[in-house]
Formats: sequence, C-alpha cells, structure tokens
Amino acid sequence: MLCHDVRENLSVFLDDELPNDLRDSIVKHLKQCPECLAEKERLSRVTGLVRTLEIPPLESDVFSYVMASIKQKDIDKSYHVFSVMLGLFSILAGGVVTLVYFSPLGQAILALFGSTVKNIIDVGSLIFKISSRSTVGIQGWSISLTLFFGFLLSYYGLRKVLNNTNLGGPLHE
Amino acid sequence: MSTLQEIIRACQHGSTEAFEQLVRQYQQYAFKIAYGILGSDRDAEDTVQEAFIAVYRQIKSLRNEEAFPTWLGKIVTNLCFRKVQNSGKRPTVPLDSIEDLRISNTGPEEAYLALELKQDVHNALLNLPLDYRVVVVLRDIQGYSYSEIADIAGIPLGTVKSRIHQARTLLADLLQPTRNEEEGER
Repeated sequence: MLCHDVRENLSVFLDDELPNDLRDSIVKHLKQCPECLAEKERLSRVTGLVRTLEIPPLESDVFSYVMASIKQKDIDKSYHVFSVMLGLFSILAGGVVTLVYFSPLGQAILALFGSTVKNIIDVGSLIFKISSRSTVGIQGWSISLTLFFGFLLSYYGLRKVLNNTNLGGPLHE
Repeated sequence: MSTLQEIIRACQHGSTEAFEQLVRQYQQYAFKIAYGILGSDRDAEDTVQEAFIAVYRQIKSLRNEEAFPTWLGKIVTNLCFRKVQNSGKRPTVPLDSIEDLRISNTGPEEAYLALELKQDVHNALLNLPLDYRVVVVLRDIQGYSYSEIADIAGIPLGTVKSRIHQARTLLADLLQPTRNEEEGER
C-alpha cells in the first residue's frame, strides 16, 4: 500500500470505520513507515483534543421558554387568521351591499333569492300536509329524523371546525 | 422511567409532560452540537430552543422513534447552518489570525497551558470552514457514526470521510507548535 493511500484513510482508520482487509493493510504499512506513523499520531492527538473539548452545561430552562414561545406564536397566528377573516368578510359584505342596492343585477338576484325561499317553504308545507293525511305517517317521521340528524351533524361539524381553528387555545392537554 | 419510544409516542399524542421529559433529556445533547458549531453560549442556546420548537411542531411526522437523536441532530445542524449563513460571518473567535492560534509552549504554569490549549483547540475548530466544522463536531464531539453524519448533513458517505480527514489535517496544522517555539524549547 502506498503512503498516499494510507494517509487518505488515516481518519477513517482512527474512527474504526474501515473494512477489515483495508485496516490490516494500514496496520502493516504503519509498522514499516515512520512518516505515516507520525502523521497518524498527529491526527490521533488532534482528534483526542477535540473529543475532550469541554462543553459548558446548558443552564437555561429550555422547556419553559419553548412552551411560552409556542403559545405566543400560536396567539400571533390566530390574531393573523382572525384579521384576515375579518378583512375578507368586510370585503364580501361591502360587495354584497353594493351589488344589492346599487345595481339592477343585484336586485334581480335578490328577487330570485326571495322566490327560491318562498318555493322551498311552499314545498315544505305541502310535504307536511301530505304526511299529516297519511295513515302510516312514515313521511312525517322521515322528515323529523332527517332534520334531527341534520342538526346533529351540523353541530358536530361546526364544533370540529371551531376546535381546529382555535390556534391560540391551550396546549394539547 | 419511560423509554424513548414511549416518550416519543406520548409526545405524538400531544402529551406536554412527555415533551418536557424529552426536552430535559436531550437539551444538553442538542446544545453540544450547537455550541461546537457556533462557538457561542447564547447562539447555541437560541438554536436549541428553536430546535425544540421545531421538534414540538413536527414530531408527529417522525416514523421511527429510535431515530429521534439523529433527527434532532439534523434539525440542530440545519438551524446552525442557517444561523451562520444569515449572520454572514464566521463564529466569534477571540484571536485575530490563524497564526495566533498556534499553541504557545512557553508559560509558567501547566494548568494555564492546558487551559490555553483547550481555548486554542476551540478557536481552531471555529476557524474551520463550516462544512468541515460540522462533520468534526458531529463525529468527535457528538460521536455519530459516518453513516449517521451522511444522513444528518445530507452528503454522501465518501464526502463525510474526506471532509473529516481534511478537517483533522487542517486542525492539526493549526495546532502545530511553531518552529521557533520548538527550537526555543531545545
């Protein structure tokens, strides 16, 4: 093995990360070559010095700082989300008001909305009339149950959405 | 006492107590890497805090609990890289030039010399290029294997080997006693 090849591998040799055959070749070479041995000793000494370097103990309360920082960042984020939502809502509300009161298109949409609501109410009252005349009464029960589960689902869905957006709230536990 | 796996799983389920345990168990570990790379107590402390904020936010994405120390090492190293690059300067070294870093073999007290040597070693380490410093810190201060270093630094294994070797050669050159001082001793 040549000196150049040995010296290239000296650090890996010192760290015991060489395959056995290469390691044996280097050991053999070092026994015969004082220059490479001196280089190995030089690198070994510097490695030992770095390994014994004193690291001061970390004295600050990292956990408290981290938790406080996370909380603060979450509060900042929730304020940011709130302000963005408020801004969007204002723009939307302003747009709707403008559309409805100042444009013929808005008035048309308003009339369309009013007639749609009226139609839904008419259809609903017709269903109730039909179900009250039915001897079995199955339609009435179906409507009642559908409304009940609809409200239940809306309630839990809304709760989940609110929980997910509660960024500034207490931490997990 | 809980194992690391149990602690990590509890953290992934949102336990603040488990997270506290994790921080207390690994804060010094993270600090060693940051201090070795940055060379300043305050910067290292800031980096450790930032690292644990990242751990808190991303721990759910950790699939292999046993890989936590390497994962933490990666986070700390990345933050150190970012810190050094953002500051646009090398870590603070009290001595002005590399020539000043050479070990002075003259002095009245052995204790003083030992202290001076430690200071010199740290200063020499901080004078290494960042890429070299990182691999030496990960290997010699933290004791990671070459493959772990490759994973943490995101470089091939061959590059880890050559960087560690070049870094040690540079350190040895920096810490070599000057010829004049050697002659003075004779």
